[in-house]
Amino acid sequence: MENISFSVFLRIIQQLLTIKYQEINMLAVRDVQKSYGNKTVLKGISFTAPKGQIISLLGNNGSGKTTTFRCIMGLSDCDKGSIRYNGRPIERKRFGYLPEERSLFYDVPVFTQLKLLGQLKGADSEEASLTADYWITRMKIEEYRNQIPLRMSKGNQQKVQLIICLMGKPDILILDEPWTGLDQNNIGIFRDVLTELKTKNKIILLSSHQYQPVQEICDRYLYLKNGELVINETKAHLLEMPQRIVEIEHDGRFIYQGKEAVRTTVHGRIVKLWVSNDETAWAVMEKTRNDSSVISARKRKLTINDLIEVSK
Amino acid sequence: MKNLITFYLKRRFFSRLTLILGLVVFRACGFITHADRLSETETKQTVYLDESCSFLAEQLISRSNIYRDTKNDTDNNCVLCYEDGWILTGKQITEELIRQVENDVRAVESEIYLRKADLVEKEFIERYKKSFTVSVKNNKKTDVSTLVVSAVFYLILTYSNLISNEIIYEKSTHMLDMIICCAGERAHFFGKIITAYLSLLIQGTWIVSCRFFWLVIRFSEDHFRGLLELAEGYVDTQNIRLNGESILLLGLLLIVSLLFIQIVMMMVTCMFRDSEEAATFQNVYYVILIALYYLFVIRGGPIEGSTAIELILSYVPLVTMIFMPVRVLTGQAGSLDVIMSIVITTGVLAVMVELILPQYKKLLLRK
Repeated sequence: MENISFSVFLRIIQQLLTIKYQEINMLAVRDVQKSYGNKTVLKGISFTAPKGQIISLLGNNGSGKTTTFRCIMGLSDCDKGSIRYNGRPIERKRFGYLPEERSLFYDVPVFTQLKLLGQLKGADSEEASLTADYWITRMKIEEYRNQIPLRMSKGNQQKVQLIICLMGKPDILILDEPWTGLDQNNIGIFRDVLTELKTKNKIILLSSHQYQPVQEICDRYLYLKNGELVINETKAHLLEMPQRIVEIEHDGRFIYQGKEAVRTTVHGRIVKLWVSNDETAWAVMEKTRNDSSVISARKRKLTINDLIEVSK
Repeated sequence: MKNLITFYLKRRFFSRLTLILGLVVFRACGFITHADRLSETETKQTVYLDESCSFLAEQLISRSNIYRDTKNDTDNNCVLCYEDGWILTGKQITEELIRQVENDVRAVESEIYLRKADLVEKEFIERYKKSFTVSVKNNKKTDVSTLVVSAVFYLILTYSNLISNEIIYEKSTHMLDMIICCAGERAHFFGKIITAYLSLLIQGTWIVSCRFFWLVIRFSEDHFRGLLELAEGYVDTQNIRLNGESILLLGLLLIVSLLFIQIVMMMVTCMFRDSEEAATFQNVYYVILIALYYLFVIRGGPIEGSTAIELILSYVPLVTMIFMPVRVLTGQAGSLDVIMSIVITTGVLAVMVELILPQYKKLLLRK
């Protein structure tokens, strides 16, 4: 009897240690639920975000992305579940937050508010000034250093917003729609900065409706549908998947009649065929070669967009 | 929190508008300190002569332009009549005016009697002794309790919404999330309150300094004589019972009560999502305050003796700052009452903060 109890005790300890160990160097979200009144916004979502990774949280409007972020940062209390960093509850100062809406003191000069928010996160005056100046230069907004945000373009305001997020050297960055209002050039700057931060072992969580930059820089894709996490896929795994997509552009007369495709979707005059592997993709393309209605055919690997399309 | 407070203070005081307002306050203090001179030129009082003193009306009118023989529109002026002696009836009659009327009546009467051939010297002296003192009736002056209540209401109106307006601004610019994220809700809560008090202190110091500067100038001019005479004419200070200890305690009560109102307003404002919702509430709040104020003024203040309700209200935290000072001024309450009121307000405040603080973040970040 004593032996049984001891072994149970040991197993519990082992499990606890395993959980602890697993949660080291990562943000762990476990079974988080959140309701507003009668509406359940998050239905028990779980995922982990290791250091040095960029994780995208995707989903339609109202799917629960912002609520997830707010719960992670403690701006909203979750009804159930836990959110831990390094196996411990998170200190709010570890976060850098870029909200979806512009959150700026519109009448306070850029440098002043950057310095203040840096200091609020625990940096001393000099450190906050140096960090602010570094990021102002890095983001190429030196000319707006002493300007008030009211007189700046949306894109430049968004840059200031990102700098605010980076003040105080946070471990975890939460970026809610970071590319809103940015042109391609500035999206490039943001992408470079995020890649640089990734190499500095930061955890970056971002949400976006623009899948192109997400596809390029993210290591893991999470897709929320009505408060449920329906996709949790790494970029590496996605690239390793044997399935291929054959995209056939035609003149309007093409009808696919083969049996190779496990799934077919039609977008105007483009037919997307989901096939099981590269060989099958080649075979499908070979078949279409002699079809006079086909303008072009190409194969490619799966993207997050394809997975989302399936889950819809 | 220190950084947050410094930032809030800089935002409030380091602007062109604040500088201009500071100068306006400085000028306003100068005007107040020379108010007697302003009133001298603009509101010279007219004395209407009643039919009972028609026998010397002509002489008085020719003597000074303050006398009129008509009785029309006498609401805001004083009337001189004769009923076994000279009586001056009216509002806000200054000592200076009384002295002038006495002098004029004395001079005119002397003139009339001296012209009479059959005048007996003894009779004239008797008449002179009897009649030339002007007694004053119905001289309505502003009582100090009304002045105090006006000042308290002004303070409530100015400072109670100070924090809540800032919170609404932070909410509407979505800056609140950032601040809470960086500093935490506790720092935000106490930061706001401390900032409000430091602002009060800074503004108060500026106003007191300006007043002091102008008072020094006024003292060098006439040792405050003009100001004291003005106050004598307009303000009834006869019933005031106030000492240094009372002033100190009332000041403390005012500070604690303002803190109480600010926290209440802060909590109420937290529930609003945007400035429109807040404005709707604030409008109602202002209307209630103004209604209360007029009710108090119309009633004439509790100078004649407190009712039981007023007695109770003077200990109730939200309204103690209105009722307690008046009771102290009229001698109906002592230092012990003020201390009790401070203790009650502080106690309720502590319980309220303890209960509210855990809910603060939830209310503040309500979407």
